[in-house]
Amino acid sequence: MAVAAICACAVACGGWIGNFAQVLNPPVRPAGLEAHETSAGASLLGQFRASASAWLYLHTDLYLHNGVEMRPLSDAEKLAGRHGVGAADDGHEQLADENNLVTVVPGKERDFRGVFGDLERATAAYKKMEGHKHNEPENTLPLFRLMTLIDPQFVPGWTMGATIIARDDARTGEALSYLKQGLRENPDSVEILSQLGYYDITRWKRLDEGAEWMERARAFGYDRFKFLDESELDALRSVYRWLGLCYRDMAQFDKLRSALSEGARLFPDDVIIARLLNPPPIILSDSAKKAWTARIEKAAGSQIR
Amino acid sequence: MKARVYKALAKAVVLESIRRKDLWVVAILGFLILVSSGALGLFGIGGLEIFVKDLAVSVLGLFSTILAVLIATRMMPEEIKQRTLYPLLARPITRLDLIIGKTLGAIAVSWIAFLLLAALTGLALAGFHVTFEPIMAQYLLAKMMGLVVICGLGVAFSTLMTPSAASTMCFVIVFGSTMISRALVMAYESCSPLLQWVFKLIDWALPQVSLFDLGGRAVYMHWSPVPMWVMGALALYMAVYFAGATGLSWLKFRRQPL
Repeated sequence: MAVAAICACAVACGGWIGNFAQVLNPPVRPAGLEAHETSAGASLLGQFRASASAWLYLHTDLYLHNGVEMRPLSDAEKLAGRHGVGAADDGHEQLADENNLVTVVPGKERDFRGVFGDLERATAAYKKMEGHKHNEPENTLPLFRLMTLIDPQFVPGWTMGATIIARDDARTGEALSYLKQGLRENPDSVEILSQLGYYDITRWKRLDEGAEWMERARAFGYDRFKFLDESELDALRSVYRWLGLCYRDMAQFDKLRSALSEGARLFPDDVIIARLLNPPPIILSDSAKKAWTARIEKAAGSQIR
Repeated sequence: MKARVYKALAKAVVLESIRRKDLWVVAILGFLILVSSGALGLFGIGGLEIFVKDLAVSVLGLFSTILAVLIATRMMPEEIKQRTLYPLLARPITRLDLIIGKTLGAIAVSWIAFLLLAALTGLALAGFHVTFEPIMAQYLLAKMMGLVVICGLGVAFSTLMTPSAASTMCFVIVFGSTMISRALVMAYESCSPLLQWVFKLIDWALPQVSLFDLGGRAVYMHWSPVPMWVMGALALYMAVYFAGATGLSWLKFRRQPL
């Protein structure tokens, strides 16, 4: 509850001292020094907000697993050939990759602690998770709203929250609104922009509007390519792929070549971009087309380091 | 006879704790809980019931553990420092009686603090119509048993080292034992047989405080109450660990020049 109080105070401070909130959470991140780099108070509050939102994000996993704590396998465990509990058996596989996860409390077969292990399995929130089922992901939505309220710059809170909302096709509009709210706080986020485009393309088949979002994501991503983190790079990679597909279906081949050439330069190892950029000529036979595609994939594959 | 001695010593610890206003800390923490729940209410907790319960149980566990460690590790050194130990030892009681009585007093104070905090937390949560399942009763009982282990350990450390060192060591062991235990389990299979024995010894010696925390089951939905044999085993473990820690305190304290 005390943590909740501090959360609440942090949020209340953000709204109460308007100017302070603007300094802490500017709509656009300045290229130079930020408030938290120059002001100790802002730094502390900023750090707290970031930590609280990250903590809440981790908590969503506990929600999904009804309190059963999971952890990734260590490198040593992977080398020893140990496997994770595997994907959930309830159609929620897209929410998280659980192939390398195991329960934090070990199963009896891997626990040397004897009676202490038995007691821990009886007192902790523990159950065998092979073929497990998740709680309804919608139950975690309030957590996503809280984490983005505390730290609006926490992009995974916006993107994963939207993914959960959009699991129901009928709520795609709500997911888009949620993402647009996130975009107001993070106007240069490649991930949010690409997800907006994704829903326009795949759910509402609005290729032109989807391509607009993707183009915005492409422009921001290209400008900051060297500074993108892993998840942003993944988002940018898919931006080029979707642009290729959109322009192909809209028969805008100049734009297609421009986008895909740029994508191929930035991601030379990407097989899909390479294939979209070099489709087999239609005069070829089926077997020749296959050989063509295989050569393209081989060439792109050789770029993987 | 002994029971009356222990009761008198424990009562003195409780009265001393009230005189020293230790329980004011509990009152302040309780006030913080109520105020913070009010602040949380401003934002609405629709859909956040489990999160609120989780926070409440975590904070309850944290505060009660901190209080128990501080009370248990500070009690004996202060008696020696303020020379109030001499009139006590002038009475017909042994040093073992003194340690047992004092530790029981520390347990009583930590239980009072824990139950007060639990009541205030329950009150705050009731305001939001957040309900707990019957396993909450087992959570409270198990946590109280866990506080016995912590108090025993705290008193033992306080006879072996300075109060600051004792409380630091106690915090490290109480909060770190779960992490150490899990690290041992993860590393066990890839170790040599000799090292595996060392791991077993370390794990058996560590106080398994996390076993007394049923918070995960109390917070999340549809967990069944733990079987009675588990509660019985926890009670046995508590008794054995308390006896071990008290024995260790006595071994050090019985020959300690005052």
